[in-house]
Amino acid sequence: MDSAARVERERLLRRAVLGGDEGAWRTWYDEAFDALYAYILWRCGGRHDQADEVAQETWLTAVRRIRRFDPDRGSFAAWLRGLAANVLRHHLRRRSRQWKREEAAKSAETALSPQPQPDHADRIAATLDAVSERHEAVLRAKYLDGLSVAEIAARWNETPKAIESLLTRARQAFRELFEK
Amino acid sequence: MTLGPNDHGQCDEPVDALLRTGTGPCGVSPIRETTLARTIGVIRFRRHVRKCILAASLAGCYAAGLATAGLQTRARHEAPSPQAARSPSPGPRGLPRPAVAPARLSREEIVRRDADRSLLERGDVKKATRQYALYLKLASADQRASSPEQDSWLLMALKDARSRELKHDRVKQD
Repeated sequence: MDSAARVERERLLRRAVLGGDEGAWRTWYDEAFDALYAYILWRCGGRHDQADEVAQETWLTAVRRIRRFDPDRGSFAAWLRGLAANVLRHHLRRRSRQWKREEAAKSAETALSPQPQPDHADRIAATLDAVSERHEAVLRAKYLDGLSVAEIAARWNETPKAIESLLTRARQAFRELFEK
Repeated sequence: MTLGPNDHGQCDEPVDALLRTGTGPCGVSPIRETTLARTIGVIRFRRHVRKCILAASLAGCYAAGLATAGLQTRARHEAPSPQAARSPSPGPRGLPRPAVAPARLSREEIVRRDADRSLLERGDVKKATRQYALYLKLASADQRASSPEQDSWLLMALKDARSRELKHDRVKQD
């Protein structure tokens, strides 16, 4: 679907949803759910329980803020990903504060016991949250969407060399943040 | 956890493995239907709120209309002031009639005033026409010609018709 057709379609759907049309919302939901859930699961480092929570909150936020969605500025899927990233960021901050409180409580009880560490999935989630938007976008295109360098270059109007270089920098940034 | 050395331009396996975590088929999500139901609930609630606001606005407009009508009715039924009762009622076009004590009103003037009341207050055009016709029969030419600005539209029309009739009769005789 070309850009103008996509914008027009999403504009109509948005108007219908704002008018209270449940069918329009169901259409949008069914089209976008799988891709959004896959994105959230990837960002959560594979943790289904956290992904479920984030996905629910993202959809509820989306339906409440649907008036703010502007089809001219980007697709509905991109808008949802932005909402999901914000929801996940709040979740990670909450978990981080919770984890620090638990750590402080446990170390107060037994000073000699080993410090608990955030689990693997949490670290991946935190790292993906910390990388820049551009790095996250290219990593998503490569690892979640499964696109080749040539395909990413074609979609982004860049040369394959530029994408290769960006991917390398993105991986490097991920590694450095993960090891911190 | 530390990762192996990074080879620029080559596949970074540990990082690749981390970045592939959470990819692959998700399966059927258990929250899909429950989340849909909750979001549809939000849409329904918003629709109800919109209907309530519309109903409240319509009710408000209706109440405003009733209040306006009530105020107008009250203004119409308000008793006239004593001064207004003493002074003579204005003529058909709102101009004040010359003050004449009731005892000194001639019969034709009384008939004319009755006709004015029939037309303006009761809207009885038929009765007013009969009364104006009687007045025109009783009144002298001078009386008929005096104060034309105080004539009602019906009296003006009848006078006009009467003068055309007379002109026509005169032409026929000639």
